[in-house]
Amino acid sequence: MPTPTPPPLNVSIALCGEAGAGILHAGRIITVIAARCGLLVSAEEMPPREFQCSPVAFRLRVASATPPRTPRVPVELCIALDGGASAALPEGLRRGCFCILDSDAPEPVAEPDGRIVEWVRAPIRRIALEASASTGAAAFGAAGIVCGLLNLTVESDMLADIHIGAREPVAFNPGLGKAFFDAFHFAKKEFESKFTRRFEGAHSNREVSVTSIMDEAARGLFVAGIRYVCGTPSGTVGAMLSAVARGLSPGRRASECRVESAETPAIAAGLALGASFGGVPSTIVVESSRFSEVCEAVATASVAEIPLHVIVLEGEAVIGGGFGATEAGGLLSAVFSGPSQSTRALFSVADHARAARIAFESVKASEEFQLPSVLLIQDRAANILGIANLRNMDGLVRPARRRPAGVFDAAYRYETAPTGISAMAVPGDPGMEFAATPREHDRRGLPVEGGKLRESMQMKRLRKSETMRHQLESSEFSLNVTGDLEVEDFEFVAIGSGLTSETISEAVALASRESIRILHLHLFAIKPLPRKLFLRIRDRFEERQLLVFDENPMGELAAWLKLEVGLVGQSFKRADGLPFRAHEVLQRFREASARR
Amino acid sequence: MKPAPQDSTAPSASPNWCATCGHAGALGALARALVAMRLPEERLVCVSGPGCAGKLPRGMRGYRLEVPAGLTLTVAAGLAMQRRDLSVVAIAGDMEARTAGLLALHAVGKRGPKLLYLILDNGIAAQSAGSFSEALPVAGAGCLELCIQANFAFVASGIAADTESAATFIREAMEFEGSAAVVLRSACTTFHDEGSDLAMRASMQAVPREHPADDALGALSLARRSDVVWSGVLLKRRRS
Ligand code: SF4
Repeated sequence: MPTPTPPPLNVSIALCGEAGAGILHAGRIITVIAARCGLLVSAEEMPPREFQCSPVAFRLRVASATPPRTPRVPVELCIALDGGASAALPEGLRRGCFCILDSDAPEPVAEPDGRIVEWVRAPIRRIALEASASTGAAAFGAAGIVCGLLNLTVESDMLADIHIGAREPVAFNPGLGKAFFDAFHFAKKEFESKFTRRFEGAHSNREVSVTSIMDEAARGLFVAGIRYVCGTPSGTVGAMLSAVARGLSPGRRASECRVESAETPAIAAGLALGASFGGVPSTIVVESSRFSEVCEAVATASVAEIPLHVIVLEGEAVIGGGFGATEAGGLLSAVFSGPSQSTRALFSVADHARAARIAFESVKASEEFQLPSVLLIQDRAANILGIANLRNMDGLVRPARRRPAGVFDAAYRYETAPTGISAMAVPGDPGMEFAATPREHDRRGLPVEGGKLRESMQMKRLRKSETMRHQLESSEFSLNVTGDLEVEDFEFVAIGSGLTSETISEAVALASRESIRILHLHLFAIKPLPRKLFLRIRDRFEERQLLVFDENPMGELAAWLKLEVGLVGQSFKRADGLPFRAHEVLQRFREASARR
Repeated sequence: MKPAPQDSTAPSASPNWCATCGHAGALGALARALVAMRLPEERLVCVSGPGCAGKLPRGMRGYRLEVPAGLTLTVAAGLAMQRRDLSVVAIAGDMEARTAGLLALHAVGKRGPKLLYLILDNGIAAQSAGSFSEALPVAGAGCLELCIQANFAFVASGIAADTESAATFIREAMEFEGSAAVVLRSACTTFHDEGSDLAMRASMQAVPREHPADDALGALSLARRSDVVWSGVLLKRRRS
């Protein structure tokens, strides 16, 4: 008799607990292992600030056949790292929840139905204590349980290079590996009889090299020629610096790119600004909540027309979400406002698969237009890791955009060129000495007081902004159009940026099954906007047909669209700190369609 | 050194200090040192901060970068670490060195790039209408002391009015393979009467011959003498 083909695996998992890093660590480990086992994974993190009042901290969906879009409801498998956390779960989620206690968790917890989950707690507690009695061990233990439940084929080398924050790779910390495998074998053995649903179909594919969104962004930086990366060595910034360091081969490390651990964001910003002034392409990495500390350097680079690249990480420290929701509330205003606002670019990426290309684009924008360019990386959605890693960088490298002829003939550093882009000179070039200053200045960079000169310099930078807009017009958004459809063929336009990418895509796909035709326009370059397209959309669609999804309470994207291109649409915002779900977006589409 | 070209459309092309400002002596000293070093103009980069001291590079040729308070030294260090072919001079007043730039002082001292940090110390924040820098939280710790504590490898002191001696220290500092600080006491004739050139000259003393240049503790105790304005090299650490 032929062996029956196992059903394809497709399961939604939620991890929950009290605020802490353990849950996020466990989720990341499971994501990496599942991807290494050949599964397709979509993962979503909820930063501590958010999940302190929220029952679920990490959701992922693993599948063996169809790429999962976003983690979905209902959750089929729920793991609570802290005993108390399972009690806070909504009834629907608690069904099928196996409670795993952290090493410092209290006594066993009785579920409302009287079930006591002690039989899970005891071994994990022991495993964690024996290993190292640390949160990391509990996280690895929890990951081991899930991988055991999923019946994955995990071997020790799959864990060897997993980095959890500043922690050593497992290969150098056998305690963590032991915690994982003890829990893994325990789950395989214990749950076989108790966990009725078995998942089959996973196959091993160790060739898949799993990277994070930061690793991908680091690849983009290297291809773009970044040679100096500065940031504070802690938290998400530390993780980004580690990603850069990991991407450097030993030979490359010294000569091609230097990673600098600075004491504060302001020190990092100063070092990078100095290097950039010296013609060395440099990046500052900063958390969004500390962006205000690098603002002076960014503003200086803006007026002094120094190419400077800034990576802003919206990770665990963010309350809101979305492209503008920073704790300091300063990112958007710092990038967009002020007298020099015309000379800054803002790119945004929350999508692992596009991180390298957008990082590359943002570095190139800073160099080609001689301005600070800001790349906002939203590290909460590690989308489809298994697939994303199969990309390569071919096609990413394109010839540098050429500046219009004649610009280099200009004698002065800040020549008022028609494009707004003057000849770039760096210290060491004979005959081109100049002053760079954050004050308003004349063509050679000397500070000026006179109104006429100030005005002409501001006009020059505005012209530069127009040049940048023109050159980036076609490339910096993704338009979800299939077949021969034109923009005009759609009933609605869903506009998003950053984190909402996959959610809106999934909702658009679901809506199309209900014959609701929606054009999904997702922005990577928020400044400059693809103006021509937006003007076309503005003129073709009515307000009720334009649906703008902002993952922040302020509706910043909607406000920006209104300001820049006069586009007024329905704005959907989030004030609870949680990301949009596909079914919620779909519901908005349905409501809009019903009003038609 | 040639003066910066006159440009009628750019009123700030020169430092536009008060007529009797002591900083002019510092500009002269730096220019003398550069002439003696025969440094090509394009190899010199001056990074300066706000205030009267920050205007000094406007009187020079070469590449110049003016930055907001607190960034002067780190920007210069970033440049010096990445472009070892350049001679980098960071110029700040004592107000910046002792407040916004204090953390940078330690960050850069730790890294030790080859640069000169030229501090023009007139004891006053002239641009904010003369608040005394002695009234700061680090009161008592002078610029010299702070530079030694921050692990600068070369620390020298002088008065801006003694242009010839100052030029010697500056040259030695610029040729030093590491982070060097030169603190020049300068007179703000508009806001700080007691800090006049005459008063400084009266309390100026040469660094004692018997003081070993690589003795950091000895340099620290000299730096703490508030009754003396030292002229000479207080500290020159040996390269490891
Ligand atoms: S205010 Fe004082 S320090 Fe400033 S230029 Fe005048 S004399 Fe010099």
